[in-house]
Amino acid sequence: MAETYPSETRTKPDRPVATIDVLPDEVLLEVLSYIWKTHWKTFLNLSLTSRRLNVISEPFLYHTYRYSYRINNLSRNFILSLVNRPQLASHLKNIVLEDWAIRTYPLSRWTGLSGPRSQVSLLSAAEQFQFPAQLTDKWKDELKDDLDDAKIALLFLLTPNVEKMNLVVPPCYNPKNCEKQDLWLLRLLHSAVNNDKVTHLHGFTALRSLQLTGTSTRDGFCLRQFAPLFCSPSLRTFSATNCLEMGSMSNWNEIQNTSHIESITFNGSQLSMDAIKCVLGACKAVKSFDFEWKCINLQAEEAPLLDYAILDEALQLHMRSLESLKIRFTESWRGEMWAVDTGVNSCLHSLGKFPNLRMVDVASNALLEFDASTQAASQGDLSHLSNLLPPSLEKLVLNYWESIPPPEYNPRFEHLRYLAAECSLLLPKLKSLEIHTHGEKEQGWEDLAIQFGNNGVKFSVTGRVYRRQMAG
Amino acid sequence: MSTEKASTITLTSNDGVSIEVDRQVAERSMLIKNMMEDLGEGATATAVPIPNVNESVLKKVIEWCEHHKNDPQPAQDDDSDSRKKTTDIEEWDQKFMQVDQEMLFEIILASNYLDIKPLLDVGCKTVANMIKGKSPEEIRKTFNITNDFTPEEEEQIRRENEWAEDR
Repeated sequence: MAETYPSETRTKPDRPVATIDVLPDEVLLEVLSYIWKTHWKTFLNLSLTSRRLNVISEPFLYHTYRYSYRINNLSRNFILSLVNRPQLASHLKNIVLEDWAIRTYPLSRWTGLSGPRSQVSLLSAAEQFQFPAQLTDKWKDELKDDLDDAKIALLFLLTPNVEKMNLVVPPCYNPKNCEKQDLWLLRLLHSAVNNDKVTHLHGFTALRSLQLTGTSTRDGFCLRQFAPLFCSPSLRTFSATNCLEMGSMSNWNEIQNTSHIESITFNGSQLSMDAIKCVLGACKAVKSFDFEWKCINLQAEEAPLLDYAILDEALQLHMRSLESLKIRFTESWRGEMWAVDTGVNSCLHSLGKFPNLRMVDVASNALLEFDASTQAASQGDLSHLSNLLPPSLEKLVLNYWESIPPPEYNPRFEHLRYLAAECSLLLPKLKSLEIHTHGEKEQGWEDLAIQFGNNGVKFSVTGRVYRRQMAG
Repeated sequence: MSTEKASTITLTSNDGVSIEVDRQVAERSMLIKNMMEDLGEGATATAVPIPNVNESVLKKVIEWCEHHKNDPQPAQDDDSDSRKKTTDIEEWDQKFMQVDQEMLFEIILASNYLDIKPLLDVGCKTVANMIKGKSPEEIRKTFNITNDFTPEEEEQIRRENEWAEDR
């Protein structure tokens, strides 16, 4: 008998022995979700263990593709696998291209036995889209040369389900002459606009997050070329770092009021007010706008300046949706002086009408105009600051607080005093107010903190000078 | 949230053993919790059959629920990504999971069936940690997996995923 039946089934006839095979697919998927998507080697090893685990681990192996020039090559083999089996390309959700240059000539040309055949595969993959013949030929030439930029375009065009794109924009851009060196991807997408002959374009319909980073902090990268991606239908989060856009972006006129982006972030960027209007105008309902201004270009005559009145006008398009507003400067005090024309008295004068605005983090000048601190405010004007803020406000941060040392009368401080007294009435939801200052210690900060505290508002003042004096 | 809830209920394992459990402990299982809510107070009088779980596994699961009875209930649709950022397992749970593999998989299956999300998480994390850093052969050995590839298939997979080799 012992030879007739396998021992496991004989000892426990009603229940099979628990091996990993007893775990249903949904549980195995749960197990694999605890392994980081960048542990490619782990997923590769799993896919080599058995047919079942191969099927289950493949989507994880192809979930994220990350390329950094310093760490690895932009793998021709990877793109080839996507070309050969589109199923693999459909798994790709996250592409991170961190560090590469437009002109990266290959160290080694197509070599080995598989070389010519794989080249043919890549080139015919490029042909399938039927972009204009001249452009396709040029693109194929660069694919033959194994240039990263050309391959990156193919990579994106092959992957219809990408949700997150983190793309470094290399430094060889002339911001005034973008056309000359646009990314291949963008050149191809531009050529497809209103061109019925182009086929197999997936339209980036799954793209939810787009992150662009210019590698050059001196030149920045141009935003205007990214219009086709900016209006992808599922895009909700957009972030740009080291972006310099000097002029107007006329090609964005076509995409005005088309994007569903909810969150816009600019880090270390400088945009003309026209460009900011184009960006905000392209969106239907922005919830969060976070801009860190950096004076990338200071010298040029047309160097963009921040004008709060124009920004205010552009933000009004999102009056109902805006929940969080943040305007900062990279070089803090100096940054603000360089970025904002101090000759113009302008402020964000309509924020009080934004019904859902919960967080405001701006320079104090953005609310209290430059001249407000030098002119004695009459009693009637003391409500100025309070009137600029909506009743929905929960957190207010005022940066670069400049104060006039006592005994001179300081109207800015008086605005705060008025706010402290009236805030439970005017701003019933306010929980926190932060002041960042480099000025002299104001007389009465402590009294103010007590008064705000009595109204349930946490009031804090930070700043080098202030801390030193407190410590002293 | 009534305070007059019966304080214990009886669970019956698939091998016919009845175990009395504090209701609060048993309700770590969303399956049981929802069943109790649907059936109302009368339900506590009769034993609740747990057809997919045997006595030793059920006792082990109850032990876990007992230890974690005061943990906050996980949100229905909590952000799974933030939960999955780490495969760290708290010390008590680590010790709890030091069981033979058969029991480990049984606990995972039971927590999946009984809908005890935090226990399922711990179990899945434990298995994930057993997979990490192992070669295909080591994974097969660890989990008793039969290699059902033909040499050609294996070669094809290696070729297709060559890009991942040096990552």
